[in-house]
Amino acid sequence: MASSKELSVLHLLSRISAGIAGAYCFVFGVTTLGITLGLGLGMSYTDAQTLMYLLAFLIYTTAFCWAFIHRSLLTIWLFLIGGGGVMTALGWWLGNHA
Amino acid sequence: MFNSLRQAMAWLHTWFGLVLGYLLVVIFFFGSLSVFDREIDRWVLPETRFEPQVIPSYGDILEEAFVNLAPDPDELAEARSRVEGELPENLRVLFWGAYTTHRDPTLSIFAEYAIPNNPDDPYDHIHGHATIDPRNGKVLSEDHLNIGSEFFYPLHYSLHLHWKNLGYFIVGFAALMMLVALVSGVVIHRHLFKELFTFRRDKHYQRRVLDLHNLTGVAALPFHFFFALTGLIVFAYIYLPVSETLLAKPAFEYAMQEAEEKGLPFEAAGIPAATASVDEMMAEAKRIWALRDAAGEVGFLLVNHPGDQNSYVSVFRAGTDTVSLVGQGIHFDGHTGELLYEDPVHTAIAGLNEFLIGLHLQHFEHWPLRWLYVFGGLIGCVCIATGFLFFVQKRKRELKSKFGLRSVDAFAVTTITGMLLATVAILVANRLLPADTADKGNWEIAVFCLSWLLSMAHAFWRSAALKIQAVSPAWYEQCYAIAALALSAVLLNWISTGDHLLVTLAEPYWPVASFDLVLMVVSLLSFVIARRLHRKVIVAPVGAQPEERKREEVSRA
Amino acid sequence: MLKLILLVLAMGFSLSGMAWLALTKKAHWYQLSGERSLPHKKPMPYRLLGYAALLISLALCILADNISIAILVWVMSMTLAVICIAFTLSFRPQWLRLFVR
Repeated sequence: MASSKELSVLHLLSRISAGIAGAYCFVFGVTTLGITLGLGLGMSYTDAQTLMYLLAFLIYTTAFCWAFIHRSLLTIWLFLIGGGGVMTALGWWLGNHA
Repeated sequence: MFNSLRQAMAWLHTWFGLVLGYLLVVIFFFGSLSVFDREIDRWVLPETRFEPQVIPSYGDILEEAFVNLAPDPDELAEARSRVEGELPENLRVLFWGAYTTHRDPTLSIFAEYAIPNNPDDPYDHIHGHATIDPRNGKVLSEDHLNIGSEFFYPLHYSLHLHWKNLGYFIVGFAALMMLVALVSGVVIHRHLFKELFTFRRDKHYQRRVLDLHNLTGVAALPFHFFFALTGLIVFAYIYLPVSETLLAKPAFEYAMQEAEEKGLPFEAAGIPAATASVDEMMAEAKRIWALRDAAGEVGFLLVNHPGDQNSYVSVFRAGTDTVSLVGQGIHFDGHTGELLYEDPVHTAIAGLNEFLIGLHLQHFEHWPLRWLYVFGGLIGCVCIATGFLFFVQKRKRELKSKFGLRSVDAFAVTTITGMLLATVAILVANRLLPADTADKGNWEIAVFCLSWLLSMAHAFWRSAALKIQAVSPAWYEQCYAIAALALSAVLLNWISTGDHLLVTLAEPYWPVASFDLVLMVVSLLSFVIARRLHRKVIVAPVGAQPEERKREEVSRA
Repeated sequence: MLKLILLVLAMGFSLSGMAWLALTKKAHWYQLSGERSLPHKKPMPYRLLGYAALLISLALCILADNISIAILVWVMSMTLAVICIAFTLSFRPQWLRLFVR
C-alpha cells in the first residue's frame, strides 16, 4: 500500500502533467475545431486561424491554472485530454469531410 | 490538492517561477539587447558602420545579387538524401526576397529553391540567404557574425536549439509559465493598487526584496503580459501546426483559391519569360502609397517565380511609422509589369494580429519607445531576480543541506553575472580577433559559451565561502570582471577602429556612440556594485547573526 | 523637435499623474508629510488630478505619433512613472512637495 507521501508525489506529478500536456491537448483541440467552425461561419481560413492563435495562449494559461485549482484529478484529465481529443477529432473530421 | 485558490496560485507562482526563472531571465535579457540588435551589429562589424540605406535599384544591384545567391550547402546536402535520383544542377527558384528597415545599412536577401522528386512532399524546398552592401552589391562575409541580430536575438527566441524546433518550444513554454506567473502573482498580491508605489528600503532584507519584486512586476505588468503573449503569437504556427497537419487539406485549398482570386499564380508555368522593370514597379508602388496618404519606403520585396511566365512581384511598404511590420502590399505581373492586385485593408482580426506581432518585433521608428522597451525588459529581469532572491532568503533556514543553498546561489550567480560576463566577453573577443580570421563568428560564439561555463565553475567553487559569510564572493568577483571587460571593450573599439567617443559623438554616429556609452555605464555600475558587496563582506564579522550583520551594514553606510 | 517636446511633456504629465495618485494613499502621504491622516476627507482632488494628468499624457502621445504607437508610448511612460515615483517616495519624498497645494 503506497504511503501518503508517495501518493502525494504521484498526485503532484499527475497534476503537473495534466497542466502541461493536458492543457496543450485541450488547446490543440480548441484550435482545430475553432478553425473549422470559423470556416463554417464564413470566415476566411487565414482569419479563422489567426483568431484561434490569438486566443490559444490565453486558453492554455486558464486551463493550466485550472488543473491546479479543481479538486478532482479525474475530471481534470477527462476534460483536458478527453475534451481536447474529442475536439481535435471533430475538427479534423469537419475540416476534411464536411 | 490545495485548500484555496490563493494557496494554489502561490504554489504555482513559487515553483514554476523558480524553475523557469533562470530561463526567463536569459530570455528577457537577450530580448532587451535585441531591441538594439542592429546597432550592436554596427559595433561588432566596423565595415558596416554607415548610414541606413533604402532598398537599392533592382536593375543595378539586386538582380545580380539574387542571381549569385546559392542554396545553403547544408540544406542542399540534406535534401539529396530525401529525394529519389539526382538533383538538377540549377534548382528552380521559387522566389527571391529582400527585407530592410529604417535601421539597416546592410540588406538581407534570401531565396527559396524547389526540390523536385521528393516522394513525401511535392512542395519540398530549401533556402539561401546572404547579406549585401546595398550601395554596391558586395556580398558580406558569412564568417562575420552579426552578434546582435544573428546571435543575441535568435538566442532570445530559440536558444539556438534548432533540432526539431526544440529551442522554440522551450522558450514558448517559458513564456506560458511567465503568463501563469503574472496571473498567479496578481491573485496572491493582496494589495495590488494600495502598494503600487511601495518600496520600503528601511525594512529588513526579505521585505525590501519582496517590495522590489512586486513593484517591478506590477508597474510593468502590461509590458510583461503583452510581451509574453505576443511572443507566443509570433510563433503560434510552430506551437500549433494545425494547418500543416490535421487541416492541411482545407488550408491548401484556401491558398489555391486565394491565389486565383488575386490573380497571383501559385505555381510556375514552366515557360521562361523576361522580367519587366522591377524598379518601375517599386516606383509605382511608392506613388500609389503616396496617393493613399501613406507615403513610404519599400520594406519588403518578393519576386515570385522569377524568369517564368507566371512570375509576379510583390512590393510591401515598410511600417516605419506604425506598429505593424509591413503592409499595403502591391502585386505586379513580373513579365508585363502591369498592376495585378492591391492588398485590401486588413480585416479586424488580421489588423489586430499585425498590431500584436508588430508590438513585439518593433520595426517602427521611435527611439524613445525603444529605450522604454529596454527599460521594461530590464525591469523584468529585476522582477525575476528579486523573486528568486526572495525565495532563497525565505528558505535559507529550511534548505536542509548546505549544498542545497550553495548550488541555488551558484546557479543564481551563473544566470545573472555569468550571463553578463559572457555578453561582454564576446564583444571583447570580437575586437581582439583579426577581421580576416577564418570562422571568426564561431570563435566568438566559443568564447561566449566558455566564459559562461567558466563563470559557473567559479560560482560553484567560491560558494564554499557561504559557510562563513552571507554573500558568496563569486558575486562581486564576477562584477569586477564585468566592469573590467566592459571597459576593455570600449578601449578595444577605439584601438581597433579609431571610432572612439569623441569621433562618434561628433559625427554623430549614434549606434556606436550609444553602445560605447552603455558599456561605460555598465562598467561603472558593475564596479560600484562589486565594491559595495565586497565592503559588506569585509565588515561583517565571521559567524555573526544576520540581524547583527545588518546593523553593522547600516552603521557603515 | 515638436514631437520631442510633446513626448517630454507627456512624460511629465505621466509622472505628475502618478505622483498625485500616490499621494492619495495614507502610507505615501505619511512619507511626505509625517501626517498620519490624509489632508482631505476623501482624497478626491488628488485622485481627479492624477487621472486627469494621465489622460492629458495620453492626448499628448496621440498628438506626437500614430495612435497605435501612441498607446504603447503612453503605457510605457506610466510604467516608468510608477517606478520613478516609488523610488522618489523611498529616497527623497520631499521632492514630491511640489505636487501638494
